[in-house]
Amino acid sequence: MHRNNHKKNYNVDIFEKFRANKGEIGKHMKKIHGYFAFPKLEGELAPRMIFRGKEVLNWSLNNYLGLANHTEVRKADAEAAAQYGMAYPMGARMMSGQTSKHEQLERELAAFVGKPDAFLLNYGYQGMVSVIDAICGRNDVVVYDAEAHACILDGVRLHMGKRFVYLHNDIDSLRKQLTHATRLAEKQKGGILVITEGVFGMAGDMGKLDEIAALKDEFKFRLLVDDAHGFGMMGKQVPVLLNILGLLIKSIFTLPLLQKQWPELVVLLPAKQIFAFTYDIICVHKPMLNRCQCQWFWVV
Amino acid sequence: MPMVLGGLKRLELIRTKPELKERLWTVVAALQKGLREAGFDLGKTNSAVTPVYMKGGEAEATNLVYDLRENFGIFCSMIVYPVIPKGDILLRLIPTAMHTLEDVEITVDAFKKVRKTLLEGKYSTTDFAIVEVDM
Repeated sequence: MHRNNHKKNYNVDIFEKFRANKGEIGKHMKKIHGYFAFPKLEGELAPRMIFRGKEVLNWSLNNYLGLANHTEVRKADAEAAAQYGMAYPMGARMMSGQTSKHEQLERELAAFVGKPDAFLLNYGYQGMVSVIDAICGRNDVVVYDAEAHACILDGVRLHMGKRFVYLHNDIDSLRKQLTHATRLAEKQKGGILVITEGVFGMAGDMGKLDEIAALKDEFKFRLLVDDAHGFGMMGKQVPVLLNILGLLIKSIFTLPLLQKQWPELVVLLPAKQIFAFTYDIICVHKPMLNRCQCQWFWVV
Repeated sequence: MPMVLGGLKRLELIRTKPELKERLWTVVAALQKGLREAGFDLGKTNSAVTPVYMKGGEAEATNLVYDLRENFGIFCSMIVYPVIPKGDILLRLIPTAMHTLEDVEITVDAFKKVRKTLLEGKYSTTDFAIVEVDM
């Protein structure tokens, strides 16, 4: 039997290639692994934890409200695990994994944020990816902030239609991109989704939600906000912020909102405009205690 | 199911314990005020996320964080290139409701000291204990 030797002129092994070039962070692996990357923090989740055998004052947990190791939370988690195990319910909710407790939590969450309904999902990261993928089709156009989190970038990458990026928190740039997006969406008979964040997790600045929402006077679009770092920690205790953002903060963040310690939370708020300045979708999530947590996903 | 029941409990606590958020913001305010008054650049934060920007290369960044952890017992995240531009060091502090004002004081003090060492150029030389990490 005749066999072509395709290896004759081509002999790249993908593993060898990766070993030779692990990327900007990967190339430092030997030096940083276990210390700067993948450090092990031991002991109870708290401001004081053990790092390499010594106690350190820890400022690296997104445990804003301190719920992660709250005694009542620990008790509820443990009792639930004892009663149900970690596997129940089994299967996708659509097939066999639905429970009345899921529905109860969705109802309570929806009521809590003043929305008609909610839906839970598994992970924050995956949630943003899924949201973008679920609501956008090939003819829809995405416009997103240049400093958006990796989960948004990955979601946008999955999007099969066109996308435009605007300079971080730059409303003029957003307006320009919305102009392009509108032209294209009109031609394709698609819709426009703008994506930003409530609080940008790296720099701590807030997305200009009020100014973005105000652009709805000029453009037709829906707004998706990832608020993993802001939800529940912003609010009326922050008068300075209230002054800056006025109505927006009052209407959105002073709700006794969910927050970062919440296990993997994605909130999709409705298309109906309830507030004067409003987002249509808000996404809150959190990589938390376990990697197997539910994600909360509000959709209306 | 534990995630759902645990979620219900968390929601209940968020609803019924506003003091947690108050405590968080007391710590946030003290930490950001302390660092700003000490002349640190916290960028454009207006949330609890507290970034501290300094200048330096990889050696400075790693040695500074090593010093912070080993000699001052302060653990925080370090972000370097390619997440941020080359030559910038970003240390990110996340205050919580569980931290105390004493924790804030210790931390601001430690940051002042490592900045001094950084500005003296000591983190860029081999005089400093270069990180040796067991693999």
